[in-house]
Amino acid sequence: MGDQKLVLGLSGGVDSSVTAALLHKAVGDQLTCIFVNNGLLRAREEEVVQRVFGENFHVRLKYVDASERFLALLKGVTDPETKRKLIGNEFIKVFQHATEELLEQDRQNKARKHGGYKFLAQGTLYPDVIESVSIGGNPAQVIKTHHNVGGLPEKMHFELVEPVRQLFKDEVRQVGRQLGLPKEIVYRQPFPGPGLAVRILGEVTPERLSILREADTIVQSEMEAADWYYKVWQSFAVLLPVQSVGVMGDQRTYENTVVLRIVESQDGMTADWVRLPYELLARISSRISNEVKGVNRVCYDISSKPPSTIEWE
Amino acid sequence: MTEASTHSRVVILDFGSQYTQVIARRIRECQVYSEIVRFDTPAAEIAALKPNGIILSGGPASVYDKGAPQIDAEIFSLGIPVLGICYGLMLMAHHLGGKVVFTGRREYGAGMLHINNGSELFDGLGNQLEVWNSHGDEVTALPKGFRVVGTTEGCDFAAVEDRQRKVYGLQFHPEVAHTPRGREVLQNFLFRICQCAMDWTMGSFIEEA
Repeated sequence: MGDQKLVLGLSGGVDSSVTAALLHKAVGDQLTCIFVNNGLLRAREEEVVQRVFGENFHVRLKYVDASERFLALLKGVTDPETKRKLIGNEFIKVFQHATEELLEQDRQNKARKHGGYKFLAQGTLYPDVIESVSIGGNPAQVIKTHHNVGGLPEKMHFELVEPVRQLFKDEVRQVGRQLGLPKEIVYRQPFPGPGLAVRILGEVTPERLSILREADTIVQSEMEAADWYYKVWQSFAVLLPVQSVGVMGDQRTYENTVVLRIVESQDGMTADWVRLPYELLARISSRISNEVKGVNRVCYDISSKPPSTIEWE
Repeated sequence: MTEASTHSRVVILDFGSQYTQVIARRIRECQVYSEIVRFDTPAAEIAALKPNGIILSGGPASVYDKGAPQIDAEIFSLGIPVLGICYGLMLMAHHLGGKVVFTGRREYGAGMLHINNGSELFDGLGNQLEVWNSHGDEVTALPKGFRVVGTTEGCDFAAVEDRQRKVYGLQFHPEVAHTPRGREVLQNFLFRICQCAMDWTMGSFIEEA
């Protein structure tokens, strides 16, 4: 690599965090991490990620708030694959812009090396690759485009560095443990690159994002309080573009449906819905319909993968 | 690649399954070396690798689709044990004179395999096995020489074998984590049927690299 420098797209999840730790070992301060707020994050996630990163890494982190750009881009878009591709493309544009800013900073700071940012590192995993593209000329079908694989533009200024591309998530977690990363990073539940955009079926609007964020916060806090968060592969809420009739305090309502998706899996390749205690399901359900304005119905997704996938889009 | 290596080895033909790398990983976990090759690799090239066994992955196609990935059927006559999984089983049936159709009896997710006729594949596994399925098509007639060694509620030919030719087929996916004892099925194939040795460890990987 020589004097060339490397930027890494950090999400705060285990894949990109392990990638950051590995690359930091290999190239030291030639690495800069970029954390993009795409406006599709969970509630207060940008604060949590920056705090945890600061406590555990000694790597330069650049925070970019691009939420308005992403939301403007997604206006009126309902097709799941279009959403994923738009988001993947926009990520690259944001990275390119951010590296130009970094270069400018480096020029003013004589202490840093002066080579350009030629490499883009990502925490791409094997299942992302399997679902996104066919490999080595094999006849696999595209199940969904992962933003970091099939969602990238053909022409970009970066060369990709993906050191954990051959691994499954449980293997990446082993590497993370070996590297001494804390539990809250290593065992953090997977979160999709396109964020809440693929958990809001239909159009993504600020109003719908805020409904989903509130529901999601309830799911996470109840899972943690009941000691279930680390026992499952993923637990999250999905907002459907379906309204139904309810009755709240003798008033007729016609409002949104939230689905709970809680699955167990070893590697993300196959999954089954968790037989959660009824009491916990009841508590999550009643808190969501009581506390989240705009929701009057909560459903539990009891499908395995296959035939369904874990995420809804 | 270490052509002259004295390792046991298994060749996996990739027909585009989501799980091809999972198969390779399970075999690696059994400390056996495996290599994934394209589905249309000629039999002679495969024979030249001197594998102890061959595994045919699943895949998204139907065997009778136009342009469906086919296999060099000579592979079944190499005298090397073959295990076909899902699409691999259907290819086997299709090429050796059986019948595969879309019956409308689809099976996805959890199922129960009823084991009968004492196949070596299921040694030590009793007479029932929790399995994970993902198929639309099914085999409806077996080629000559084959017999059924396992059934599920939705599939009469969920596990089949031709002991003479050492050709085995499974409709379910033994490689996925949701077939809890699938590893033992693969171990039976690797160690009882293919006579592989457990000689592929991280240590030997580092030495050879």
